[in-house]
Amino acid sequence: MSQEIATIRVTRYRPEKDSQPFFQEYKVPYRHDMVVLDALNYIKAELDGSLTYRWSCRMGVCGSCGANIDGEPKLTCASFLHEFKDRTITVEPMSHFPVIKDLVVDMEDFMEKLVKIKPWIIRKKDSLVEEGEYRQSSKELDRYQQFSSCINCMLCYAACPIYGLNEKFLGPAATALAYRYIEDSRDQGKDIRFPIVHEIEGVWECTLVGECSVVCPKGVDPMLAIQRTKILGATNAIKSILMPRGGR
Amino acid sequence: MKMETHKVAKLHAILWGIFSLGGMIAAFLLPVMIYMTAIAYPFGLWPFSRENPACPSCLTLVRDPSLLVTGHLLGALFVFVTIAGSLFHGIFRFQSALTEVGLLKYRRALEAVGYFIIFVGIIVLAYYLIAWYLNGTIT
Repeated sequence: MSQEIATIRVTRYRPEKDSQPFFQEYKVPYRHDMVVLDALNYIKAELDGSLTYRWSCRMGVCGSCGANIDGEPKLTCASFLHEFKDRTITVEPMSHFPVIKDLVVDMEDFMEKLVKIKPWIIRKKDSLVEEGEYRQSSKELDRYQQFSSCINCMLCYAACPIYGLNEKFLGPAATALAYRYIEDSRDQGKDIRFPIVHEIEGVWECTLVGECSVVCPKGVDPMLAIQRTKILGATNAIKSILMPRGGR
Repeated sequence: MKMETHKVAKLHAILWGIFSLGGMIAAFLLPVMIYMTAIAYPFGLWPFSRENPACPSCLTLVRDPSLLVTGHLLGALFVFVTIAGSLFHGIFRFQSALTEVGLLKYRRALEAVGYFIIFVGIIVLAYYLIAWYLNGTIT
């Protein structure tokens, strides 16, 4: 019985050698349970050791293996070959990020944005361990839980046309994470985060395209977080005019 | 240590609030207005009536869409909120569209022109509605 074959077209780019990216095609033995990452690993191990890409957990948890697969931002470890017509698949680096090599993109900008929104619990005064834990009801947890599932895979940035046009835009994942802490009943850092997310290049650049929520592999809805953050911003702005001393 | 400074876009936040609220109100009221003026009135389903001014003693029923506003503050407000809300929603969405199509370079200038047209439109609308409300005519 002849072995079935999948065709993988991969973007190759070595800045020290190539003036621009180009596609290289590989034939990979196909199995029904194979994901795109398996195919890339096969290429690296058996066909071309110079192919460069990021990966780690192979189970959709670490968020490091994102790529544009047939034009859509996806995790390579969560995209089965059998889902693609004729088993011919094009794998490109994620859009909107500078390419370091082949499928590896520069994450610097995203990392800066992530740190900028201070993704940790801020307390006005830290309590001693002996004073016990910061308690939270399940209702309070529900307010932010879905936004805490972000794995920082950056697929939402690759899908966001606004980020593609304006890299200063804070973007979906960073805003979702900021909102996650804004809604956390244990957090007291709203006054610090609000000015960051409510800059013109914070949430206000978003035009509600919604692709960020469509491509998220963990079911996070960054578009909802951005909309809710906008409502908070508008409410605070109106309050500050109506109640200059009492409003935020 | 370097101090972080962030410029909160307060005006934009307020404009977005009006866009959001105005858009929602317009989305609810516009279909009602379209029904009243484009379906109910031409097909004789208009619910309003009045006495014939030429013959106050005669009880003549006249279908007239101007009765929606003439002497009715709520009616005038309904027309104002529906049209002004739609206009403002439109210009704000137009501003977003400029971003989406990548016209970032010309966005500020086009936005300024758009907002100017819309605000002139809203002022003219308010003027005519007040005249209509008070005098029963828009001329």
